[in-house]
Amino acid sequence: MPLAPVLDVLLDLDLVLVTGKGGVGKSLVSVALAEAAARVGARPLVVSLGPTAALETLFDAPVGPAPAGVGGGVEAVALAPEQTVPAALARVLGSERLAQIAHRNRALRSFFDAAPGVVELAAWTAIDRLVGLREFGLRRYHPVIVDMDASGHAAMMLEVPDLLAPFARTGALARLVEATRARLSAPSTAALLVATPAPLVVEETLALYDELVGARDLLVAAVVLNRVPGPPLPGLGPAQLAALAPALLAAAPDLAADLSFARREQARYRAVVEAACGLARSVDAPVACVPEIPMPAGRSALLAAGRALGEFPRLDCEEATA
Amino acid sequence: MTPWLEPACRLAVFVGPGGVGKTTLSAACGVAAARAGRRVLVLTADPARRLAGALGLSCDMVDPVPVAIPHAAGSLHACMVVSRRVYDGLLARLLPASAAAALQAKNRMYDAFSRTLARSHAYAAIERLHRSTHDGDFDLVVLDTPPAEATIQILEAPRRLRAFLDGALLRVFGAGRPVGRRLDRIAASGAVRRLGSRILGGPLLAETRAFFDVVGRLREAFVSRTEQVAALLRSDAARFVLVATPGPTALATTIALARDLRRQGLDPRTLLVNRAYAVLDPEHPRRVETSAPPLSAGDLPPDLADAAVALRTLRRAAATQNRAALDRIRACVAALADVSETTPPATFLVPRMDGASHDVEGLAPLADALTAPVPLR
Repeated sequence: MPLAPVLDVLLDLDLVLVTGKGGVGKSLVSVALAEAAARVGARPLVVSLGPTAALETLFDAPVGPAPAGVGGGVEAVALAPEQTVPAALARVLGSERLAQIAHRNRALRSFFDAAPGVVELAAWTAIDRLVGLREFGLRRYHPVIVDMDASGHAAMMLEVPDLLAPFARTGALARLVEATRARLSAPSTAALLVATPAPLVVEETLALYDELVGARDLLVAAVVLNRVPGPPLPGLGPAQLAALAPALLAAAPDLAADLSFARREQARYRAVVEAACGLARSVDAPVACVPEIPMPAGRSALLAAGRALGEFPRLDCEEATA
Repeated sequence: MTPWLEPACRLAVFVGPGGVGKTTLSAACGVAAARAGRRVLVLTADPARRLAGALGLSCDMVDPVPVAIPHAAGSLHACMVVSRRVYDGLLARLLPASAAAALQAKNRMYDAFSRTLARSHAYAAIERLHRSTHDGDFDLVVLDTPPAEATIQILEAPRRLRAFLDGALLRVFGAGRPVGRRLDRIAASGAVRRLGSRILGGPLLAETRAFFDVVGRLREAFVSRTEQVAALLRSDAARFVLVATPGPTALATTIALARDLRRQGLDPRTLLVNRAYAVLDPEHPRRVETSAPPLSAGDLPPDLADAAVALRTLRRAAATQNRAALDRIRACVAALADVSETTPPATFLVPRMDGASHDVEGLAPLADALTAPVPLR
């Protein structure tokens, strides 16, 4: 699969689910995508499902339980999954009042709090509602970008509707499960996988890709490689360095440590390029590259990252692995 | 001394943000402790399958799998929490065979509960931990937890599980012993039951009641096991090890995590910074170089001068990064001292390794680094 710009693909979607291995920069990519979308006139909403610290640092604005502007035409909301249960109950029961009664009941509340699947389904229901919101006949938010958990837990959350489906055949729970499954299988819903070009990360990303595409039948719209480094010695490849090494050491023996370090850095860079290209070859989705952004990232750096999603990246697999 | 080599430490819990290398470091600690003569189990509660990869195992590790360590006085086993298998095992040990089989064969509630839903996964991790620490097969369990948020779920699992098994709840679904409190009577009233039927649908409600009937019978065993694990987590035999990398985001997340742990009444006394520095001189892997000597490129012939300058610039940039990383780590340690309100945590630096480890041999350099880790000065 050739490396390609992914912004166009992503802007056609109603719901973008951003996931990937822990620590790869899912929040950064969610924010960069939202900034890029807002710049072309879309009305993006970033949904946080976990701790908001990373998003708040990136936006430099608080992210609360109700959607609110965070600057630059982007809105964000923090859905604490536990807090989404009453609204989901109201939808199930068709009545705010009944839902409040049910949620006030100590026994039922501890059931909702502890029973597996309930909270996840309620969170999906809240997301589905945000995607479906309309204003003057148009979508209120477009696209809705969900900054999900790391791979293993995101996969579990995506599995919940399928797990609940076989036994929720009747009753209001079944309608909720069906609505969520319909949303997740809609052609306007897709996952955006974030990875870094490190061998271990690529391995885990490919396993997640297989799970999402194979078991969950979810569309993977694109893969973003974050923190793609440049070569350690621009213009001086491993072969050239090896050719120069004897003369360099003869003229300046104290360069021995520098040389050995540079060789190790070149080997590391090669592993990075091979991992990136291996990933690009193994997925049937466009792959975009985002260079390393110094943290804390300012608005301009985020915009640059967003632009990178719309440009052809500079990583050329054929040249790099030749 | 590092917790994993201390005889008094029976449980080392590795917590930290995603992507910092918790699983790899847990495996390497296991190797280091096994070499030092301990019988070690590395238990991963992370649903990502990294542990098998780090140790070069291809099996599914639902039960502890022995890992051969060359020249080790102790032993190493590895195990992954697979929810369904943990619950099946629990039923087999606590219930008559026929009751366990009935639940496993046709109860959809049990089916959903016992698969790897996030919440039940946390309960399964607790149960697995209970078995691993009470069977007496191991001197040390190294628990590798999933990324930050999910770690708190595991630590909260005992409390949530008690709420889940709460008497009133069980009674709604027709199980447990009667208690005369007013709240419980309300909970057991027909109205709540009708509400349950409306939410879940008729047939599922029946299965849910059957599920809770069994769970109700297991209640005492469940509660005592989770309480034992909660007590162990808070005892002197358990050590929480914060794992971080020197990036600003990872360090900030680590401080937030330490604060969450503190709220749970836990005080992590060790900070392990992975990829803390680049080794500039392979002859001295323990040296954290923060500057590079000046280079007099003027003495060199012109065709070599450019290359020499490029090489020294690369080395100097790495040294500058080492220094910046040390500064951020020191600031993080100061913030952690504030969180703990006592002394700063013992902080150890693990250098960036060349290449990924895919087997025990590949882990050897990391295990060496963790046997006598470089302290932060």
